[in-house]
Amino acid sequence: MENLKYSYMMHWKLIPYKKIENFRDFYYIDRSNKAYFSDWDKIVKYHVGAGYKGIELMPFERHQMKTLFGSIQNFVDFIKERGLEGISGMFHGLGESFDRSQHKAMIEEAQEIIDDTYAFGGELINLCPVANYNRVGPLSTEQLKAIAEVVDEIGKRALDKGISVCLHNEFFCATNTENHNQFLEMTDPRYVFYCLDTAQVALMGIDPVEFYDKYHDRVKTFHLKDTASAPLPDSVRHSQDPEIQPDGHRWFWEPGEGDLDFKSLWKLLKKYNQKGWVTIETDGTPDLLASMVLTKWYIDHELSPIYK
Amino acid sequence: MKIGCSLDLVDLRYQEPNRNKRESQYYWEELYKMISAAGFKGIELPYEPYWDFGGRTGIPFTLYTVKAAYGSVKKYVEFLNNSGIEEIASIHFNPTMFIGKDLDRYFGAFMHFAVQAVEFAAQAGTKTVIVTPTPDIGELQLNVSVGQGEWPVWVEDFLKRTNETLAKLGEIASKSGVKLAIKNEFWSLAHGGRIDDFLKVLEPGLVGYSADTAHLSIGRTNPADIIKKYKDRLDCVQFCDTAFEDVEDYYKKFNPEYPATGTQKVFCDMGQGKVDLPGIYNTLKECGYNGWVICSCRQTADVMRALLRMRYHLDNVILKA
Repeated sequence: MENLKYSYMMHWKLIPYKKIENFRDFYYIDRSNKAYFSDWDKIVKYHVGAGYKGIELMPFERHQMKTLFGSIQNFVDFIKERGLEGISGMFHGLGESFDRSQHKAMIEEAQEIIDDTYAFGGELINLCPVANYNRVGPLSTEQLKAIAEVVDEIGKRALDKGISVCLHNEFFCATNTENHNQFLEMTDPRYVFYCLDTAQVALMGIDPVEFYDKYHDRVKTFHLKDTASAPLPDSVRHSQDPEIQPDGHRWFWEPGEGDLDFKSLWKLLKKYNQKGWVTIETDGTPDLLASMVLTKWYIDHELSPIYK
Repeated sequence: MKIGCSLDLVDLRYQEPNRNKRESQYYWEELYKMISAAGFKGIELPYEPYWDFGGRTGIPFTLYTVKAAYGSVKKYVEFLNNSGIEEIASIHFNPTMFIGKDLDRYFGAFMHFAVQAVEFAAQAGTKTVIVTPTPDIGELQLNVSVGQGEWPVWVEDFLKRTNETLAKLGEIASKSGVKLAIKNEFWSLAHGGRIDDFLKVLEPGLVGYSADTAHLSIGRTNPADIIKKYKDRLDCVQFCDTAFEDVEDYYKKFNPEYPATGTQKVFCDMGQGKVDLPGIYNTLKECGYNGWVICSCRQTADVMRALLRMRYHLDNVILKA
């Protein structure tokens, strides 16, 4: 029995078809590889073929998925029939969560995410706690407290359904280098856990290996990705919409293609007997399928011999 | 007639290798030069508020993103001009992303962002803003109207509010020196000949018509006949091709652009389908139409190939007819 289960983050955007019934004819319309990325049937098979057990969903596409499949249960059945174990969880983001007057609406929206995650059979909600630094930063201690309050409440509600809410910090969030660890400690460890996105924290100037060593009790899951750009200066992290650069510069790479020390991290995973989902996230890649397979090779040949 | 091309040939919503680079500014800046090299001096810009959210400011489809990338619409247009694009011929706004059970929210967002599109057009010197009048019937029937009474009654009320919104927008646009026009997607409540229901109640001086040849064909109408009928209200014409025949009534199902069975590809590159574009071009000439014709290879599998296919088909088939 393996301790770690690998999931792949849903960055495919919308997938328009459930299954292309006449695949060969469809291909011949324009003889393009677009045919290979247009239906769930094939996308799911790529996950299974590459050795992944699950998918982490983005929230934006779930309405289209529900209607395309008729119900969430139909979708779950569809992916299981093709060999996936299930949905690991869903991503969700909060906006001006430091504003207590918005908490009621935020909790209602989060409840929909919790209910849908439960219906999908997911175990995790990876939660970005606040809007971009450029829009709302810097945050005061009082504002951090307000964010912790709403995150705790969402965590409590999720746990009622057996789902763990895990903080997930983008490198451009208003919770950033100066208060990232402080904010984590302000949340209630009974209800709020942590998703360690290795590249995002490195870009904030935080060593993911040291972070995990210190906070392993809170770390429930990972977004595994590499970077060759850490640490980023304030001028980038605090800028308007820095995630996608105008010149196409990439912040994120497949594990093994950047600078991060995943082998030391995996030694700690072994030390602390980490269990559960690890999501591979390859946002920014020009080719999700290539990145998915390349990453799995690195895991199987470089990381799994250390711990799996 | 002036002939341009629509940026809707770039598929941003669906996956394929190399899709992600389309979120970066450099991709579009190179594309303008390619469009110009393919002989198009005017473009149609889809206005998609979706890109205001989530930090994709490289995609030049809203006031917010263009201001973030260029500082102002004026500077963006200057950049286009320096890349060989002389004009943003038209802007297309589709409010479908806001549809949900809360119709006050939908019509509020519809108006808010359509006014932004008009503002964008006014600042860019664009004369026409084309609006998709309603979301797809399948979405309205399967998700939005459920539990809100009988469908015919619900539709009547929805259309009333839609036409009120369009009439108000037409007035706002007119004051900004911009003409509003509506188009009829084959999946909307204005599909095929149902465009009549809208145009007969909207003031001709304030709301015109933008004919899309593929949508009209799929909607079981003859595009040339519709063009003749509304020759005095035409503000822009989309030359789009298709070989799709809607034999299973996908026009009223969910996800109509991606049918679950049968011929699952709806739109195709110009010249690859069955629409009589040379005949329609001649009809436009006979009608004395002298506005923009926008070539659309909607969500093509290969942007560069589509640009050259359009140019070849225009020069060797359509314009020679």
